[in-house]
Amino acid sequence: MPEEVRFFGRLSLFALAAGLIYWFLSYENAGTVLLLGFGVATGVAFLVLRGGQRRAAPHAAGGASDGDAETDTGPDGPFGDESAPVPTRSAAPLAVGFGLAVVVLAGAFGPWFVIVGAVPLLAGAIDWLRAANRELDQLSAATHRDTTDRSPGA
Amino acid sequence: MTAIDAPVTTVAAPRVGLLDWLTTTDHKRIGILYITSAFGFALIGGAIAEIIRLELAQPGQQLVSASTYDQLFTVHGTLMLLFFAGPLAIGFANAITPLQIGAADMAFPRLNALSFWLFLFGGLIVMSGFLTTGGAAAAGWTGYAPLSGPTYSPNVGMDLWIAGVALVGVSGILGALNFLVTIYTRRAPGMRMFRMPMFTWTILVTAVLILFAFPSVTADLAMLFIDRHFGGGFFDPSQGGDPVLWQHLFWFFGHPEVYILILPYFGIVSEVIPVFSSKPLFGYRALVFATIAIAGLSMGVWAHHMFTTGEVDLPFFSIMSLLIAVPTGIKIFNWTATMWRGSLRFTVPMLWCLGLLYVFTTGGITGVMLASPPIDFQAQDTYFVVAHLHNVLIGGTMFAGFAGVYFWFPKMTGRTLDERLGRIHVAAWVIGFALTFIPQYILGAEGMPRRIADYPASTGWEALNMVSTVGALVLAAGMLPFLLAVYRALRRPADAPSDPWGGNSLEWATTSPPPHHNFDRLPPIRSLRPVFDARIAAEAERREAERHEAGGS
Repeated sequence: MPEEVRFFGRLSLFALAAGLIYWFLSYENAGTVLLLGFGVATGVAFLVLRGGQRRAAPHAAGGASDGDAETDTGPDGPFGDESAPVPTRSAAPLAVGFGLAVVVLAGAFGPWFVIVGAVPLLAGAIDWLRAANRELDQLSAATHRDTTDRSPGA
Repeated sequence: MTAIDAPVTTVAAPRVGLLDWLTTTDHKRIGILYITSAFGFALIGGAIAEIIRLELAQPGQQLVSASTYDQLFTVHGTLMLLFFAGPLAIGFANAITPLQIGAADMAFPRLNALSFWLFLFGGLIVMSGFLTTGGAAAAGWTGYAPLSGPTYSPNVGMDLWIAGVALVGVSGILGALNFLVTIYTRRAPGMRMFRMPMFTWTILVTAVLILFAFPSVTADLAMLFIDRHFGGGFFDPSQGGDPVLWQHLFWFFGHPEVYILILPYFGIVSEVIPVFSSKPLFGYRALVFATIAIAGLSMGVWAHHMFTTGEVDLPFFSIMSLLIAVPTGIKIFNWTATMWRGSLRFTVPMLWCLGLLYVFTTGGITGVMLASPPIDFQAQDTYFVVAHLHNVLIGGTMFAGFAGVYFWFPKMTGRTLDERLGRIHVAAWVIGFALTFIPQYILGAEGMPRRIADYPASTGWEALNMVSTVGALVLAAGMLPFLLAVYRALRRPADAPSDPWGGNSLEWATTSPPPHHNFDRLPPIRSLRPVFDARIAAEAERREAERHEAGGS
């Protein structure tokens, strides 16, 4: 099992054990819920990653190897490279961040700030989604081209 | 220098305008933005600390009122912990982690930029409380309810504190997710988990801690906001609530937060010491597992901050708190063992790391003392705790943070910082630190409470407070050579070589500063030290060629 997955498993086991011991020592609710909650959350992460790794394993070239192996120079562990175009510049994060900052000021100064903040927030979010869609389209077009080029008839 | 000099490769940095910085999604620039903003907040937080120390230098109130004093220490703590120490580490992580794993950028570059803007606006919102009529938040950086509730803190400044801290919390969660995905999916071929540099390991573990600890304080803040504005009673006993619930949720975030702050800096030390000891890191795997152990244990020690509430199990949290000293001790031991019989070079980054060993270990030992309930009951809310906190956090974060700045400044900017000014900086901080905080341990042991604006002359605390204030002024003066070194460096052309120190990890395989896509080509990654391996291989090739040449002639 790759270290990426084991890592969450170890944390989960530790927290679940600590939570149980704490409960039987103290019968205190808040602390027990926090410890067991941490154990369950990391346990869910472990199971999700373990499932992902099992699904990916048959497709991996040569089989995904354990993180400890010294020889393989291919992609490591259960997760392949998720390379995508690297955006160079975008005003969307600044607009969304500024919008959110103004929106939270509504908690101090009144609901009008939600309306003021919503303008840059929505503008930034739309710009962000459009750019992401464009990149996805480019990526799928490139992947399609690549597949066509490699097909036997090509 | 090492026996084998790295090839000198320089790149002309393109001119960058304000708009480029505002709209950047490049992890290296976002890293620089984080580091610069974090130091900006630190300078403000540090200036506030100087006011606090000047006020306490003598009995009587000389500079500020008690109410203003409360606001000052609240904003000081909030800025230094949540808007300096953490974001500085995130800045280094942004600038260096993708380089160390051989990636072109973070997994989600735009989300990365959003995390930065949320952090920056969060800090500005917290500070803007000073501009409101009721003043800034004054309930301490821990914001304990009911002190932070509607009855005792009805001012807008408290709401701004909640909003600002919530924003930095969201920023932290988004950033953590980004680092986790980046480290899991963007590693170069051959960069296995157990070939990752220690700094990247600590960022990975820190990201996981953030993901599981920050939601707790976010929920806490939401409940406090409901109590303040919608008549909620989460922390109000008269409505069936419990003020200790605030403490549980806060410290479930707050104690892991200490390790969220410190682990990346441990990572920096683990990068610097091997390079300047000319040896591989001693016990790499032990250090990795010690980091994971610290992460696990740190989630189970929060209630040692609540021993005196009488509502938590003392032996359980005491044992867990004592246990965390074991993996921490492993780290100190391994760094020392790395230096043992090494070919040491006492450059400025190395001097900072040596300073950390002395300062942090002192803080760690007093932490073990405070993990024991009988001592904690005596020292609770005294200056002993203040000294311990600063010992650990300044020792852990600022000393290693400066080591990181001097170490990676050439990589980030293409310029090196002045060694002579750097040495003055280190000396001033080591001396200033001892002068400031050793007296505070004694004051705490004598019973001086923390968070007080004044004390009676009859207590006899004046001399020690005066020494502590002088120490704080030495620390402030120590920043001047650093700022001068940065100013001078930035005025020079970018001519730093790719690998000025003889480094080990991949960031030293590219130009200083790196191009937008980070690497034109990567060396083969077959061990923990790919750049060292490449240097040795290049040297062997050169010798072989020379031998052939000599044989032929």
